[in-house]
Amino acid sequence: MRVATKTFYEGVQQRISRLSSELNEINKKISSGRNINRPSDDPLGLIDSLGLKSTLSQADQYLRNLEMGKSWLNLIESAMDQSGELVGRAIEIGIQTANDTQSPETRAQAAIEVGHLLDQAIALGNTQLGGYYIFAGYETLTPPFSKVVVGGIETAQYNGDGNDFNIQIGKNETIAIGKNGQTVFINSSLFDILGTLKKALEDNDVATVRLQLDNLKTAGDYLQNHMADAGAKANRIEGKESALTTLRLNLKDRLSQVEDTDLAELVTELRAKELAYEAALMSAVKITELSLINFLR
Amino acid sequence: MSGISSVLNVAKGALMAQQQSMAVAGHNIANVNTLGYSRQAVLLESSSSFSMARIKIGMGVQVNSVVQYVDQFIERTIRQKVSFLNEYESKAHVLSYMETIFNETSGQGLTQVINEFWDAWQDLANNPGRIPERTALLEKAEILSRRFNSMRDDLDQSKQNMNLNLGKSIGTLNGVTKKIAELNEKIVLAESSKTPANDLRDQRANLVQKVSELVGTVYLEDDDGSYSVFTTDGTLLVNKNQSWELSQSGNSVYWNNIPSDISKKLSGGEIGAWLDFRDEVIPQYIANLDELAGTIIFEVNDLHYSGFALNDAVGQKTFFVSNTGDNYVAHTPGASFSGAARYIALSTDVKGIPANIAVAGISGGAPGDNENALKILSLQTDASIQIRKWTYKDRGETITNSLQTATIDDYYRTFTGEIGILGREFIQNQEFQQAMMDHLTELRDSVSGVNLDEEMTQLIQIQRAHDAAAKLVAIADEMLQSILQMR
Repeated sequence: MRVATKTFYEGVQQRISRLSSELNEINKKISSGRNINRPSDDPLGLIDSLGLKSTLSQADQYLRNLEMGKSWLNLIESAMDQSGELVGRAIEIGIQTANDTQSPETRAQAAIEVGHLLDQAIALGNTQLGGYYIFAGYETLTPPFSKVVVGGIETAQYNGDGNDFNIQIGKNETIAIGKNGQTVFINSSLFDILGTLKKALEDNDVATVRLQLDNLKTAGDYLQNHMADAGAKANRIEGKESALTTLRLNLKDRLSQVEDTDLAELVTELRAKELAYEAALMSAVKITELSLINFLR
Repeated sequence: MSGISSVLNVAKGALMAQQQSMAVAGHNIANVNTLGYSRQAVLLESSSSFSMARIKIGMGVQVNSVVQYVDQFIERTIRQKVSFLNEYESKAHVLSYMETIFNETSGQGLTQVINEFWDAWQDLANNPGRIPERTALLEKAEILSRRFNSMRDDLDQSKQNMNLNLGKSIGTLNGVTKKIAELNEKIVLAESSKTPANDLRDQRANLVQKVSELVGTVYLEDDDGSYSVFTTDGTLLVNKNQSWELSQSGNSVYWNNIPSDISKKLSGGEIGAWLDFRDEVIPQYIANLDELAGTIIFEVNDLHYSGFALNDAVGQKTFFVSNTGDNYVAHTPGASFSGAARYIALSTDVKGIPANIAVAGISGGAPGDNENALKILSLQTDASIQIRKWTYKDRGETITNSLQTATIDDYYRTFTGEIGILGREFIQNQEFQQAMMDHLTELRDSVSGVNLDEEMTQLIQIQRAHDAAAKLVAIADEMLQSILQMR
């Protein structure tokens, strides 16, 4: 085919401009570290990566939520544990003082200790985490338990409500990480029993003291159950946490596959393009040197 | 005697012919880089013979005409294909700008902003009573609103720019068609003496190509050599020495100042690209962005309205607001969300009043009640949200929508992906058209382009012929001398 002089030069121009733009694309990928620099680079990859990013951001948030849930549940567990110990001590005192050989003075002494136990129990009920009362239901800013005297017996009244605090730990999945004081403390009658025990010891009323021993055991079991429940939930959260951490790593891995450049591959590609570019320049020089004019003297 | 003088005449004719050939070769060399130039050649022919006694002797050479090497078929193909190339080039260019509006590849895309908005709800649900988390949420919501506003603004601006581009292209078109009409007149005049007006034709061909770059074009050559130029939909632009102007009035395009809009009919070229983007591509993205913003306003407000602020027993507060205070609380399915992206903002209920965010689900708004926040944040993963997806066809004459059931996230993701796919399509079309155009140009140039080596050879060839003719004069002169010196 006949070739016009213009065709040579245009061909050189086209080749060089195409190779420049290809070099530029590779350079952009290498310098940004990303395969997709604009939607049209890889539309489907972009859709994938956006989905992965959203899921990743959700997983991160759930992990934060779980972390918080764990601290709530751990605190509940330890409050229940301490309440349990407190009940144990009360039972010990009850058994000792129920013995007929004890004097009224010893019982009066014991009554003071039981009074301390009641105060401790109320303080446990008013456990705070980050400024929140965790046993107050939704009334997290109000101390849930305050000491009152009902019919001469010291006890505590509940100022919170009957709701349990929930957090989201997965898609459509919430978990109650709070326990309201009504369920845990009031329903266990712990305060009433301790108040009654104290009064009975002060009154030297051995029969009532004995009666409270069984009540204390029931209350102890009740608290034990709640401790176990909080423990089970903490376990569930830990399981969830490790699953999410694995998922998160997986997601990051997949995201990196979609988004991040394969440097080795790109550098090889860059070398190849560089060679092609140099070759194009060289052939351009050779071609433009070829002219009949050079041979006419 | 007649023998020698005829030799002199032959030599003179030859000198003239070679000189003309040299001029044409020089013209070719001079135009080696001229756009659209078709190489020319002198058509030589031997002069008719005369009889001397019984013998016929030739009278030498004469120039028949100067012809152009033109392949009409390729020329026509190029002139019509160039409108596709320019259309896709323009489209790919505008779309690559639009991609920057929807750029999700760097960290701070809309997806990221929406995710941060939901995360702020999560943090608030974890700490329902605290003001810092509430304030943080309001900030994130503000950022989200502003992002929608600026994206919508950018889209509106792009649409406006299409009108500006259209104005420019129409201005260029009018200038070009006027020149074609002028050239028509000149060519008809020049060719009335039956000699082709080669260079004027080249100029006119370039101008027709320019028209085709601007809008899809067909053209016909009349018997007298003038061109009639139409757009592909049959709008007459040039006939003989007359041209008709297009004019722009608002969103309409008029022909010959007749106030009837032809903008839906024009296709191809830059003008087709601007109109496609103005009436189809951009409005579709605007509609879908509005739909997305409207859906977020509606879904969030719907739940927010039935929740309770801190220490609040009344509820009925809104979170977002759209144009003219519309909060979509009384929104009926299917009603328009038009303008939602442009106007989305925090409602006066919550703006600057973090305590008014309806986090609580129970009347009274206890500081630990996060029930409503939990409901609102599950919108993020709610796959049962129904969102309309708009499709604009026929330059906005056919607007349809289909109901998609997806998460808000999915909806936007598909939407961004589609921009990428469209961008890819334009780029591929452009590359295809460009490759075809390159090939056609090469073909054209193989016929019409100047090859310098070829012209150099021509120069030598002509020079030698000229030398020989000059020699002929000298020899004839000597012959004449010999005769004159005879005694």
